[in-house]
Order: sequence, then C-alpha cells, then structure tokens
Amino acid sequence: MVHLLRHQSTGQQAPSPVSWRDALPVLAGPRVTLREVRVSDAQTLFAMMQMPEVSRFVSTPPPSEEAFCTFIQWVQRERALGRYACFALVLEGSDTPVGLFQIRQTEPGFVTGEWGFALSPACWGTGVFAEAAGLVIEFAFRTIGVHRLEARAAVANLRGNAALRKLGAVHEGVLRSSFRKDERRLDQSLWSLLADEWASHRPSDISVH
Amino acid sequence: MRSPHLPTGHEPNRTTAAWRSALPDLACPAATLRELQVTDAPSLLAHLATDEVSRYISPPPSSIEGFERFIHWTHRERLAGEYACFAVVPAGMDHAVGLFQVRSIEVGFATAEWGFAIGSAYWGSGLFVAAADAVLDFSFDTIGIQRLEARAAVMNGRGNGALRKLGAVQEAVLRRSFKRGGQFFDQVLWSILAEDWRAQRALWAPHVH
Repeated sequence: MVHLLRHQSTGQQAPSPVSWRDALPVLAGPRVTLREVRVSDAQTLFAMMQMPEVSRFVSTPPPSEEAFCTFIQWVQRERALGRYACFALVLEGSDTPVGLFQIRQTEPGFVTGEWGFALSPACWGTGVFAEAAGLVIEFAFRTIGVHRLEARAAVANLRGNAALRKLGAVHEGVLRSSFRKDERRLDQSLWSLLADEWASHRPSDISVH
Repeated sequence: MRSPHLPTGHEPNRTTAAWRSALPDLACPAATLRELQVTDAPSLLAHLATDEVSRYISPPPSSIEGFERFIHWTHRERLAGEYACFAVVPAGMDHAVGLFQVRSIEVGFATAEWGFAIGSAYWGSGLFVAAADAVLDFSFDTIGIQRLEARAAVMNGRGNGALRKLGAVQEAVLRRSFKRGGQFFDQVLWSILAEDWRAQRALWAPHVH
C-alpha cells in the first residue's frame, strides 16, 4: 500500500562523521565564494529579498530585518542538527552577499534533499549562478551525501526553470497548485538531479576547480 | 528564483482546531476511523508487518512494542498540529486492521501528504475506498488541506490503482526517490486538489446517499 511510515521518527540517527554540521565549509570557485549565512548579512539579504524581481517567485520572506536575523539563527540551529544548510554567495574581493542558496533534507538522514536559491538581479546573466550552483550541488552530493536533489520553480518562473535545465536537472512533472504566493496558488515544475548522474554528466561549463 | 524554505522567521499559522486535541471518529459504511489506541498494536502487527503489505513501504515496526512506540508517536505528532493518523476498524471489530496518515508539508497544512496501509485480508473488500473517502472528506473539510499528495513505488500496482480510482492525478515520476532494502526505487507522485474533490463529490453524492 502507500504510506508515510518513512516520516516516522526513527529515534536516534547514527551521527554522521562529516563536520559540516559544526560549521559549513567555505566553497570557493574562480569568481564566487559560498560561506555560511551570518546574522550580519541580514540587512543586505533582507533588502535583496524585498526587490520585486527577486521576490516574485519566492515564498514570502521574513517581513523585517529583525525577522531575517531570527531566520538566520534558525538556519544555524538546523545546520547543527544536520537538516539544513544555507550559504551566502559573495563575489571575488567582497564580503557582501549577492545571493542565497539553501539545501534542506526532505526525509530523515538527508538521503533526499531540496535546494533553492535567490540571486541579486545585478548578477543575472553573468555566469555567477552556474558557478555557485555547481559548488552547492557538489557540496550536497559529496559532503552531505544527498542521493537525490529536488528543486521546485513556479511554472511562470522562466528564468528559474531555464537555469535548472541548463544545470542538467531533469523535469519530472508539474505540481498543481503547490505554491502559495500572495493568496494565489501557482503550479510548480519539479526538477531533480541524481548524485550518480551528476558525477558522470556534469555540464562542463560548471566544472569545479 | 525560488527558495524553498525562506519564511521560517515566522511561527506557523496554528489554528485551534479541535482535531489537534483528539481526532473525531469518522463513520463510513464498512468501518469506523478513529484515533489509534495502544491496544491496537498486536492487531496492527498482525495485519501490517507482512511481506505483502510492507513490500513497497518503509519497513513497519516489527514487534508489538515497536507499534506501541509508533502509536504514542502519532499522538505526540497530532498534538503538535502537523499530523493525523486514523486507525481503520472494520464494522463489528474492536481493533485496527490498517491506518491512514496525513502530514503537513507546507506551513499551515495547505499542502499535505497522505499514505495508508491495510491488512491484505481486506484488500478488494471495498473497505479501502470507503475509508479513504472519509479520510479525504476530513482532510479537505476539517483540516482545510488544499493539495494532498501521495507517493507510491512505480511497481506498486495496487497502490497506484487505488489512488487512480479515488480520482488522484498522476503528476510525476520521482526518480529513485525511495530507498528500500539498500536499493532505490522510482515513485509516482499523485495529487488531489480540494476543489477537484468537492466537484467529484458533488457529482456523485446523489448516487452515494
């Protein structure tokens, strides 16, 4: 039959030997660096998430800078529990975040995860996204040990869907009325990347150095 | 761009619905659906911990004590307000022969996932469809779910057939999304929307009652 017993608390999970739960590593590429989001990023990230072109297809973000601080503290607690990772994207020579990448487990043990991202419009079309996304995906598969990484994007979010397609994600279907935005419900595309496919078919333009 | 999990600076929208303190009994022609009781554990073990029933689901508890822990866990989760689990008790019996679980997967229960398992002695008896109808009415009318998802392994012909028969729509095949016995399997993702369920019920109600 069809069931949900997999949601059941499995009691103590075997502690993972990896140390990303203690502190996220810094992921560095030629042009971008990803580091754990910090409370001191709240002002910049709050302002970015308020921009209409950024927030258009994102769940309603924390409504104030203070709430954003609370969100960042929550993120760090979740990371310590091994359920979540949230990176700030900074460009070469700067420590001001211009983007946010999140990965969360979708079942206990992080065998499957979901990722999401938001990027300042100044970086759109510059190649920064693909480079950063490659680093985040590598981290999910190699460090966390995710086997299947899902992403959801509103069907109307052409830029987000194109970015996922370009990364080699597979479009698995459309989730009807699955996303609430300003009291409306939107359809979303469901995309997935599998660890073994990524290892063998990683797009060459996002290879990690 | 889409980020899956931003709005966590806020507290979830908890309504003060009575079902969170104690599930109501749901009556249907063939059975009663009620809260699980610890005394259901031996019966659940006998009906669900069989190869036939558990073939396509995460392994259920393998002992009476394991089911007792599971039952206590369902009560705690229900009190937390993001989960409900009904026991299926056939007419004329005292103990559960199956269960239906519903879990919130979006803050405030707008989107949820459900699952079920019923002892194979009752397969094909009409018990499942009658009980499922009652759980779906509860999910949409009482909890207020807008979108209800289910996942079933692709080769689980019986589970997929049951969902199709209820009017669920197949939206996607989730590649290698389910781990069982060290192997990964594809799952079909199904959904039922509240408005579709209400329309379907309005259409058929005159024949049913």
